[in-house]
Amino acid sequence: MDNALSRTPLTQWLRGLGEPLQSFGAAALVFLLCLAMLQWGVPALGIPAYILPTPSQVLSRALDPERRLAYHVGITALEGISGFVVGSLGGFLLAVLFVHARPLEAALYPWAVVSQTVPIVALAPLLVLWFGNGLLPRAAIAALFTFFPVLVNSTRGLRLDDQATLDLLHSYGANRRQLFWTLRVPQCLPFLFTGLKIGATLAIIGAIVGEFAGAAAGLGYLITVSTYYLETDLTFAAVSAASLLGIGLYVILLALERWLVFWQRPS
Amino acid sequence: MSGPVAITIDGLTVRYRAGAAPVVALQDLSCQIAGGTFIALVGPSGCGKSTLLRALGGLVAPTAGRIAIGGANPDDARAARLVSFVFQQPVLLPWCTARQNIELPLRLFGWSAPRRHAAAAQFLDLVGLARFADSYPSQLSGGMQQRVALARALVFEPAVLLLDEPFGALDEITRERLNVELLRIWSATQATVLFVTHSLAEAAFLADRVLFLAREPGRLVADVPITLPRPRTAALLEHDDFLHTVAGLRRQLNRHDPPPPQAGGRHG
Repeated sequence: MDNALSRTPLTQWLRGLGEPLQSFGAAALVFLLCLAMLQWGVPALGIPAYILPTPSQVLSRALDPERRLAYHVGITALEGISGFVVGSLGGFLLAVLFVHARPLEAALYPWAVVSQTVPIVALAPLLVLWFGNGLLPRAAIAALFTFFPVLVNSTRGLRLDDQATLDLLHSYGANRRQLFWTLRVPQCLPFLFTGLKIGATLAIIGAIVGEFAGAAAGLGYLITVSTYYLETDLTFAAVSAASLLGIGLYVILLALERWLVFWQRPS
Repeated sequence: MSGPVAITIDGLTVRYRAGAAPVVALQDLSCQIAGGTFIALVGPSGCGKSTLLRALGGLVAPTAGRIAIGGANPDDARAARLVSFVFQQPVLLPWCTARQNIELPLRLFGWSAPRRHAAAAQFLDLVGLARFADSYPSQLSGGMQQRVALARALVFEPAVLLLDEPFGALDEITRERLNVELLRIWSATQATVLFVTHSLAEAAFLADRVLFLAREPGRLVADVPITLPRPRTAALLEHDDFLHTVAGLRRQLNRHDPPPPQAGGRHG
């Protein structure tokens, strides 16, 4: 018990990371099995490479310096991450405004919900028209995708009023600013991270879908062009890279969450 | 703190609306409490015990009547840091260590860090949790959490302590121990205490006076002095005088809140 109590947040956090690693074993085995089937099973069935390439073909194409996969990953990451940052900041700040000004929430929140019925993807050509055919319209789509889940979850977290805790802080004469920083922000963190993790995955999807609308670089561009020329191995390389990008962002957020929200075991 | 603080409650009425029907939580309650007295508030659920504490702490505004805490109204008393609460739940911030939780009121009051640390260390020691200063609430037992809450309530040395069933959620053994400890700590202060409880034994063990409240509307129906000598320790719990006192309180309770007729039928 003494040992458990002397645990610092950091060691607790490191220990927390170890647990999922142990349960990875079975899942990793399935992954390797699938790879093996694709590598040797698919050619054995006579399926041509332009329909389903083998993992080794995909890998060698991914590493082909002429294809500049890293460059395209970088473009998509830049669009996705900058959109993610802007969208989550916007979502969180609007949630803060909502909590401090109920009438503003009453006026805007329904529209924030209604706006979710607009297929953001369909806006892509319009955004390209407005912002030019660069990184900006793709970042904008990523931001729009991130904005809503962060807004909804942050509003919930900031508004999570426990009457006893409020009574306690009021009995100490806490003002609004103190209430906000000592109670609302920390209690919101787990909710914020739920929103951020949803938003991060959506931001990468948003950037790629934005690139489908006539981009000259990025993973979305690479996927469009490689399928046109039946370079299916390159398509697979781009899709895998996109997945890894999303997973990477998610894992970074998960680690950050375990560090910052140390008092709550994520479910 | 400059000495014991007396409380005067004069014609206190608190009404609020619950849905369509207005609820009279407290009706024309008057009472004088001498400074440094330990008061137990007993009564059925819904008799306005908690409302009385909340009104004293300035969390509920009276509909009518007057409260004076050492001559000040509840809002001014709160601003002067005269009043402090302990609730049934410890209400600790889970992201703060025991020490940080105890320092919370001091931080809100704007005390300097060295002053905060010194006060927190003193009260951690007082409630016997010095070793657990850097533990988070989730690492502490229910009893230890409530000790932290008690230390947090005491840390700015309030003149009036409002305890709303503070140990009600704990097991009986822990509760008895904490009651003994509460008396020990209280005897070192001159605080005026109002302690809400459902337990007559707890009321008899702790209090100088037991106030009985009835419900619908919430009102004061009896005011019973407890003459058991102090200091009171766990040994008192087995003493005949104590058992007689509890029996006397039970007779009072039954007079004002009679049990349903069939309840005693098996014996008669």
